Amino acid sequence: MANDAASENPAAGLLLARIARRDEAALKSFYDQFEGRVYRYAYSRLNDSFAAADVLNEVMLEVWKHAAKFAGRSKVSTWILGIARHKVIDHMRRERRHAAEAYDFETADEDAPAAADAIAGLQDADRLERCMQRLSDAHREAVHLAFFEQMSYAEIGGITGCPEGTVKTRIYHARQALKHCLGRRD
Amino acid sequence: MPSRREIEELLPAYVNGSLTEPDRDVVERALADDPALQDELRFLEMLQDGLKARAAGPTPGGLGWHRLRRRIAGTSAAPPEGRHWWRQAAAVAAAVIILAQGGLLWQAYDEDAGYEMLAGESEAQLQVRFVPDASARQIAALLISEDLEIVSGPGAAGVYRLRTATSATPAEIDALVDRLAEHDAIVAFVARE
Repeated sequence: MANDAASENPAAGLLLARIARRDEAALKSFYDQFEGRVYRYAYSRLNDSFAAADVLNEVMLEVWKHAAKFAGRSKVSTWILGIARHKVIDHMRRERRHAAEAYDFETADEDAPAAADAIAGLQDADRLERCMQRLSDAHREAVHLAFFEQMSYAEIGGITGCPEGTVKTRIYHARQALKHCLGRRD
Repeated sequence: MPSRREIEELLPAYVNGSLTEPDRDVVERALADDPALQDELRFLEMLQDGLKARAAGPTPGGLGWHRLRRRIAGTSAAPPEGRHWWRQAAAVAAAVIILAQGGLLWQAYDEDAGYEMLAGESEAQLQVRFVPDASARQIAALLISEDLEIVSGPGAAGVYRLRTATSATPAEIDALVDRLAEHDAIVAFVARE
């Protein structure tokens, strides 16, 4: 998470240096440290535990092969989630996945209820899940990185290749869509 | 003074703790006398809690590590990867479910009766009996993570005979037995043939 990210790089960076020298014990430590984050990122986008496990495997294999490429310019978590992002996209292309019916964000913006009216919907985990699945992939990704990974807009932009302003707008629209979905009485 | 929309766009970063100090001050000043904005803040805080809880499910953990380790060791010539992997998983899970539905799986067995040896299947390298409560999904994930295939089973005592998808040395089989034995929530019994 962003909160412990300041202490993340020295230890994780050292692990990567050891991994680059083919130190399997270092890879195990690295795997233990990042497995959950990579898997959950992939799962949040693919909603498929087997596919997310495939992506995790591919990402860690990439780390094993290319640890030396980490130059320390970004946080290790940003780097590895960037790799995960590419692997997820590869997976989607292979599977020819198409976006499910996503929110009409303009309508959601106009009709979004007050936050107080949507709060009750957050108590229902299944409903939150359904509403998350109705977001477009790009919006769901931004929400996951902001609220689960607790990343800054700049970090999210670094992973997704978007300007900070785009990230802000995506999260704003996703929030309005979630309020709309969660606040709906059905 | 930032617009209402600009303040609202800063709120997620305020909630996740990534906002800079000057922006935090701006948000806190705006929050002080705006009940609707305070509701937005509460909504986002609860959304963050909900999303963290949503992601709190199990991860591949040790199974994922063993799978990775096999790949980097290069001991498995053609591990099932990519888009075919989940299909194999689904196939194994479906096979287990079909067996269970056919009344063949988890047959009542006498713990002391041992297991049935099946003749004519020299390829099998392991014998495994699964914990009755283990789900098809857990079993499928374990078999796939270890590149194991079902040769036959279940026998009368609920024993499956398994083989590795790729060649393995006796030492590797012994190590595999040890790893499978560690999964005592899934594997009730495991031994070499």
